Amino acid sequence: MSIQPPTYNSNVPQNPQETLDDSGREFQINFSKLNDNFSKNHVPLTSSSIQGNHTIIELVEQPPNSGIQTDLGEISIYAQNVIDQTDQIFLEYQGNGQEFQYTNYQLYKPENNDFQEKYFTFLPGRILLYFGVIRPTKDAHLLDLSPYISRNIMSISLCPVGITPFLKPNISIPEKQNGFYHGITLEASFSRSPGPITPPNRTIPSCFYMVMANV
Amino acid sequence: MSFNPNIPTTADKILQSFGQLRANFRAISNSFADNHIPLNQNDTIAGRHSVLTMRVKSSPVDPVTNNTQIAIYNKLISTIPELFFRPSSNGTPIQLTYPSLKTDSSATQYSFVAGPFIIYGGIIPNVGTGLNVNLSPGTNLRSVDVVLANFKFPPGTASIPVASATNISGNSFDIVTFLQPDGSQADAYYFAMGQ
Repeated sequence: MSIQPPTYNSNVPQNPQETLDDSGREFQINFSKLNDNFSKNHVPLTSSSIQGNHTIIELVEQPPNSGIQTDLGEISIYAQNVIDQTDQIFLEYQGNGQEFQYTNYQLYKPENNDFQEKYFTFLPGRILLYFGVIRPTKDAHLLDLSPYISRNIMSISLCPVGITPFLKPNISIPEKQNGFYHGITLEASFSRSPGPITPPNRTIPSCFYMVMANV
Repeated sequence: MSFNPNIPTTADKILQSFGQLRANFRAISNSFADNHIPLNQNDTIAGRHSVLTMRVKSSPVDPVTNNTQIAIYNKLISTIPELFFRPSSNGTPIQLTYPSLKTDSSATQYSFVAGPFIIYGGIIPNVGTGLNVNLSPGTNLRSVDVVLANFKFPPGTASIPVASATNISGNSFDIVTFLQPDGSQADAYYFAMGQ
């Protein structure tokens, strides 16, 4: 027979005839449980100061359509699982208002190559922001968008760098692969010969780049 | 006086406050269950948060932080609650949220970053020179960039167009392109930051 660990009981004391001999142990269990559980994420009740302040906020995943209630004057913060990602932070605005994904995916350093130094971060609302630098290489013409999780390219910004002014490279968007964009095709500006855009026949200038994409 | 989890002891006097004690235990349990995994649940996660409902802080509006604290809180900006971050040692409060965002894979979208600044992005198909663009919601634009893409060249075309933003004022800018009057076409991606 297994012995259940003691749990917090809201119905303590059980009846008005109890003495402390009867209910003292239940009192201790309740106070102890309250103390233990409150100590998670908060400065403990036994602390001599700032008790009740948060030390960390661990958000337990909420089920989809969990009906978070956000009244006027309030903002709700919670965690939900996101398909193809992990648990992410969501916000809901006052009056059960606009609800959106605040964080996105996992941040890590993509692998660089001679042509491209890559970084990415996110914006609220399931937007990935790719940024970095591309450097002149005769044969390279694909600005890589790894991780390959972008379903829609929202915006592109290019800024040539160097002591000689350059025009921005020309851009075309290759077809998606398995539903996701993998990169952006670049071609050096200036005059061109009639014919297909690729392969490029000029070196692409160094550029800072920024690409926003819906994931 | 700080909380004492070790009372009462069996040596204490006979219980006379049955109703109040039970009411207290219930009130504690009910209150704690707001925003937290309830006290009578799984010990490994009881006490963690299910949701954080941030209410407007009344006074002081910006909380005091010492050199080992930071604060995240709800503050009204023109009656709209916004999340704020206050660095340690009463650093300058930073607004983390903006009242709205629009990210739906459509041609015009916006999100935000701390400040707050609004980040606009979009694509204008088959752009023409002199096109005026008005971004919504309205702010003062601090940065704008325009990039042409998806060129369609008629046979014999020997130059590739470029584009730039001009007449930047308020939430508005014009796109200038050097598309040749030979039937060349291109789309324009724009990126802008407003405050």
